[in-house]
Amino acid sequence: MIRVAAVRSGSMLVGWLVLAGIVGAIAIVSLGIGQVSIAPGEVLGALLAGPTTLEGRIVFDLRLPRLLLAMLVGAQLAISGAILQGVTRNALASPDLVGITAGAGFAAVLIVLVFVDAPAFVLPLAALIGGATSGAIVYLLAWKQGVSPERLALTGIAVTAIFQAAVTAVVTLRVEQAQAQQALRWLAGSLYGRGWDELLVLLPWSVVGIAGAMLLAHKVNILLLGDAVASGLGMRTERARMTLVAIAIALAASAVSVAGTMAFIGLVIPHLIRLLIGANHRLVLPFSALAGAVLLLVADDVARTVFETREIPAGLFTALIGAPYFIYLIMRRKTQISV
Amino acid sequence: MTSLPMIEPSAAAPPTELRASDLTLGYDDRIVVRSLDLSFPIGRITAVVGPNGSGKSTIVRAAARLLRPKSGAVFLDGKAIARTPTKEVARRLAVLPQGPSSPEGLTVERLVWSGRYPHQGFLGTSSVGDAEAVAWALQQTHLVDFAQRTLDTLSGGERQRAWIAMALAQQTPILILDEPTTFLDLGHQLEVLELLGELNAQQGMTVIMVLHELNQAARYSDHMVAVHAGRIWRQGTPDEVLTQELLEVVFGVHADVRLDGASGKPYCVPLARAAEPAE
Amino acid sequence: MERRALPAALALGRFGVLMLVAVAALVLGVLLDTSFGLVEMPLDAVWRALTVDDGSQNRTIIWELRFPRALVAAIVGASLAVAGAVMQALTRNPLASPSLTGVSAGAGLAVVASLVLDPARPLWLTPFIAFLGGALGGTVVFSLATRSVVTPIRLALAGFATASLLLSLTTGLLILNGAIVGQVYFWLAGGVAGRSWQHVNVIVPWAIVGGAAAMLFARHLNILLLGEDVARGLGLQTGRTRAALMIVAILLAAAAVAVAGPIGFVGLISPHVARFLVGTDHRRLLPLAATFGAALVVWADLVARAIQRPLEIPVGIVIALLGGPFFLFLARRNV
Repeated sequence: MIRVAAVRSGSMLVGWLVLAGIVGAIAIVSLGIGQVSIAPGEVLGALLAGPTTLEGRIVFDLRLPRLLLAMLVGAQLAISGAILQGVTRNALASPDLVGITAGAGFAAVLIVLVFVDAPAFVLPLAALIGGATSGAIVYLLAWKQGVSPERLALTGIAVTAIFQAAVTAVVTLRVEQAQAQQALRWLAGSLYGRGWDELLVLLPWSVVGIAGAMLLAHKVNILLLGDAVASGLGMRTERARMTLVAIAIALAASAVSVAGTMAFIGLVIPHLIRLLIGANHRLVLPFSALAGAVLLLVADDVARTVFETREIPAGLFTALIGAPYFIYLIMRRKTQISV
Repeated sequence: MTSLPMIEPSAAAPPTELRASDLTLGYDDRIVVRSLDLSFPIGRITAVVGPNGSGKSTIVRAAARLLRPKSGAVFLDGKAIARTPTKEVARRLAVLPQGPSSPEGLTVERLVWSGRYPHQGFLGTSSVGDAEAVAWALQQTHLVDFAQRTLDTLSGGERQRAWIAMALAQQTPILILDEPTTFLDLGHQLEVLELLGELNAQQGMTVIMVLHELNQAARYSDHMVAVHAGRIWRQGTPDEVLTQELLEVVFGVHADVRLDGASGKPYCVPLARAAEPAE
Repeated sequence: MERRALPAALALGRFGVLMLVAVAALVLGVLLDTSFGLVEMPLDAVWRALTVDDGSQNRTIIWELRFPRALVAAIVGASLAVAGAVMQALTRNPLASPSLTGVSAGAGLAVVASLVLDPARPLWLTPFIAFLGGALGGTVVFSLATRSVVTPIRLALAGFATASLLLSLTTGLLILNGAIVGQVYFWLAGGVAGRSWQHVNVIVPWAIVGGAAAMLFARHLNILLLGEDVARGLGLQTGRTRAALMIVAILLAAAAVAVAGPIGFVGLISPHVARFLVGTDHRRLLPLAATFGAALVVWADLVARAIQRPLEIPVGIVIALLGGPFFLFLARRNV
């Protein structure tokens, strides 16, 4: 028995190392592409040398923080989606569903289009507060002697609709302004111009959120058995649900505050991972994190380089991935809508 | 009870047969019933019994043309039911499925009026005949005073009677019911079964029902069909079907089968689990 | 406590009264919406301008600008309301509506795409494009939501996910083509600003055909509400009837979107209000819902223009701000 476990954990370790290697390779390549092309070997050299050479400065000051941000944001959104899909017992749930993205978007357009003269750091802060607040509002409004998965989802849809209307109101009333394009780009989700400042702001949220999520992953498995069974097994279902949703909100709101409202990572990635490896959330959460990180990284690379002179918001590409994925979901007769 | 004259079903001739021939039934790629032949006796009450998953509901739904057979056919009065226009079938055969859901705020009267649909044209204009049929159906089910009540305010038995009233308003000589007594408490179960018995005795209505409860089936039917693993295990009078052998082989239960002196029908008393039921 | 429904004659009288009230509210709304605007005009001047063609400036403003706009609002509201009522009956889902089933989002995306690709395409073509997009959106949602049991929640979530997708794609189109952002974004919000007789002429045939078809099928909707098996047992050809009704619903919703952009919540709220007042008989529910929906949009348009004079908020936003809380209330009650 022990030998089997050892062999299993041994092969799991190997598996993780292989994955880490792949991700590392992608990262190195990503650092090398862009307006100034840098060969992988030179990338390594630049990393070691620090921001002393020209290549070093490009890698260190521009691309490395952006890469790390892309990975963190992608991971956080994916984990948040995985938690919410488990808690609502519905594989089509996402951070957008519980109002986080809409609330963050509303706060952001207020700053960009109304309080135009606010200093730069206010935008992510406002988005964070907006996203967290609307997520909390959704949770509270869904409370009726506890929060059932269905009520959470439906309340989220209602609140999202209200905030979306508010966003549209602000944008249409100020659409002539120069900042309109900036607002739209933020709403689409973009990592343009993000650097070490943003990364350092995000990091504490990432550490606490991701650690918390991994530690509590097994609770999602129990909740999936239904409230009656979970209570019978001794779990405080409302407390567990509230904690998990809070973590999901924190992860998504902080990610959105830095990168804008990036579409579909929180919906598609966990759904896909669950189709591939099953519904054990102890595995689904970390794998979703990894997949989300890689997805956004690649999307950002494409966004940076597809047009020679312009940058496209990365969120556009994550949305473009959503479309064929939906088609794939429909064609596959075995889609699981309930987890 | 009926102050109105009995109203003839709209088809001139009474039914001659309802027969399943070489029926193979299933869902998606799962076959539940294979090459089944079954003829339902006209003018009698038939109870279809069997354990869960035996296919009894499947067979009855196919007979009511709610399920399309994978092969074989159901014949109503000599004509294949699948090739008969569905409204015409609805004038010959009424079906009450399991656990029907009622929309909020629906009154008994409106539900019963729905039963006239097969007799109405595309524009749905009502005739005197329609009104008479509805009144008759309400009378038969003792629901005249409940006509304006909404379904959700009725008890289980009353609600089931309302659905039966709808089927009655269809004025068909054949009535098919899928588990009409499940989820009702005992008093209401007997209420429904006694009503069906009355309809059969007074109007000669052919009743075909899937029943969960063996003793009720034996007591309230003339003809029993025991289904086991998609096949007819035995059919005949309740005496012939409700036997120790049925309980042992089909249900996996040691039981005592006794005769009820008052009704002359058999009843069973389960004693203990037997070995696994034979295939 | 038993809830008795009224005996038939009284119920009919009650329906008549309710319809009268609703129609009065609608007419009043149209009149007010027509008289309100930048150029102040007393009511009798408005009436003169409506009825007498004297070529005056008042006449132009009232007849060419404001009145058709109010008409469009009314017809759009009625169409969306009937579409929503039909969808709710078809799916037996109190949360179904054009916006929650992906139909409006699909129609919207199709129209935006056509605007981007061919800005010169003729106006009368728009409802056809919208119909195709709406049918596609609806199909996606229903395919996603259909397992053995389509619960309301599954439909809502499938609709939400699909609408998010379509909105992202639309935003993407806008970003790639920055020049028309303002115009399209405004349109996406849903509104009747600048709608003229041209638009009225485009939507009226669709509304009439769709509305008449829905009324003809009202009885069938009642039967469908009893459940698939019961409906078939009564001799209804359920597959065909459902398909026909779905087409009617998409037709009505697409026509509305083609002319006024994707306005949400009208199709959700109106049937509920009507159902609350007259019950589930669609021969009464449909007309009342249609009138209520028309009045809702017209009055919302009035509010939308009055709030930030002289600026105009798109009507869709006002309705969303009303509809969101209503949907919330529905969600809490039903779940």
